[in-house]
Amino acid sequence: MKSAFAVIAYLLVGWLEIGQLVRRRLIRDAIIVAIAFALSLIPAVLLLAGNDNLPPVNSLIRELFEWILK
Amino acid sequence: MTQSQQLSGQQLANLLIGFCLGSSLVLRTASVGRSGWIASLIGTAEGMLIALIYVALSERFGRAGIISIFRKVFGPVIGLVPTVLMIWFAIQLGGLVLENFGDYFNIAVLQATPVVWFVTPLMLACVYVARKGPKVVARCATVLVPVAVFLLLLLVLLLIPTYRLGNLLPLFTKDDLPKIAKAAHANAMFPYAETVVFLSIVPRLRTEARAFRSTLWGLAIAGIILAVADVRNTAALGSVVSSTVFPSHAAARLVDIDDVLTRVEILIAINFLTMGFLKVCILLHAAASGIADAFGLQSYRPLVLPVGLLMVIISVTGYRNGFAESVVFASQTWSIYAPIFTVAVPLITLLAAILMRKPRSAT
Repeated sequence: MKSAFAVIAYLLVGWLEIGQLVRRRLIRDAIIVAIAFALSLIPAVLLLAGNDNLPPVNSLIRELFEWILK
Repeated sequence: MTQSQQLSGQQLANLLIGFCLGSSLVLRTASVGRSGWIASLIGTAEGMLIALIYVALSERFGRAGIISIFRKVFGPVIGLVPTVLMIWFAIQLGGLVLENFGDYFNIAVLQATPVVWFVTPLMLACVYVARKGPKVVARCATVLVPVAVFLLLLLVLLLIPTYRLGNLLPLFTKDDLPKIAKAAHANAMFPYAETVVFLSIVPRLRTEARAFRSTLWGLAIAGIILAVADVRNTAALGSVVSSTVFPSHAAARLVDIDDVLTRVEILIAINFLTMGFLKVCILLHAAASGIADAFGLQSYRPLVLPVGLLMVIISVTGYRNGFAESVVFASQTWSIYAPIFTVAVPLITLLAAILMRKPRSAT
């Protein structure tokens, strides 16, 4: 329930931001901001849904550097 | 941009101090015991040399933003590579700072609370301030940095009864030198070289402000503060200092003035909260304004929240094995990985600009 609330609040803020840009006729800016909101929301929703398969970026970088330096 | 929206040299120095103290005041990953403060000072000197690359690059292009410098030097297509690298660096570093912040509070203060409940409110505050612009972050730094320095000095005084001079000696033993060199480099990479993100703030600097002087002053003061903290922790904790990840917190636990004044660790938590807040604000601004510059957006503000959410996700999902792995990453991987962004990219850009004689003067 709390997760759904957070996602709805985030979408609402995104909607307001994009709406403001559209009102100012900055359509290109609005599209890029919409993409940014969507891209950041996907992993957040996966995380909130309990998905543990998100890539641990820092671990992957550490393992890559360990492999290179071996 | 009006004069009131621009930053003075003093404000830049304040921001640099706050940024460098950020997580370093609490988290010391390159501790070498009694010689830690020497490594810290050598690291500061190395960090100042690296920062000179940033100042030279920025001044050469009339204090343009880093993304437009990449575009001018490498062109719109090849310039995308360093652009993506710098944006990624700011986002990842923001995630790392948040992760350190969450781990500290989760381990040392409120053990039963999930990390996400520490990082999310902090991020919301940072998003609010970063949207207001670097000038507002600089005003926050004007208030918060002196408070942090005062709390640090207060702890120096409160810990006087616990100091043992023998904990600081002997200095410069033969076995210590390689360790000091390694720790000094690690100290230069974390936090001084991370100031590369300030290249996104430099365009906001007043024309008359001296970037060179302010940068060196800011880094030197931060270096001295961190060295004082190292001396304090080593004198109070002795050899334990090299085996603890939060030495300032461990030292603060020793304060006991006649059973009246005890448990002052909260001062360390306040320092971490305030300086970490400044660091994340600067990183948020760097990442959001970098993306806005790359795509030619009118304003970076609508991007601050999505970038903040990405930082939170990285801070929560960054490591497979939690805090233990983050310590290994910070102490071993970071000093090799970070120079790609903090030394290689700016240095190659500066050399390319010099060789290609850019920017070309108007004829």
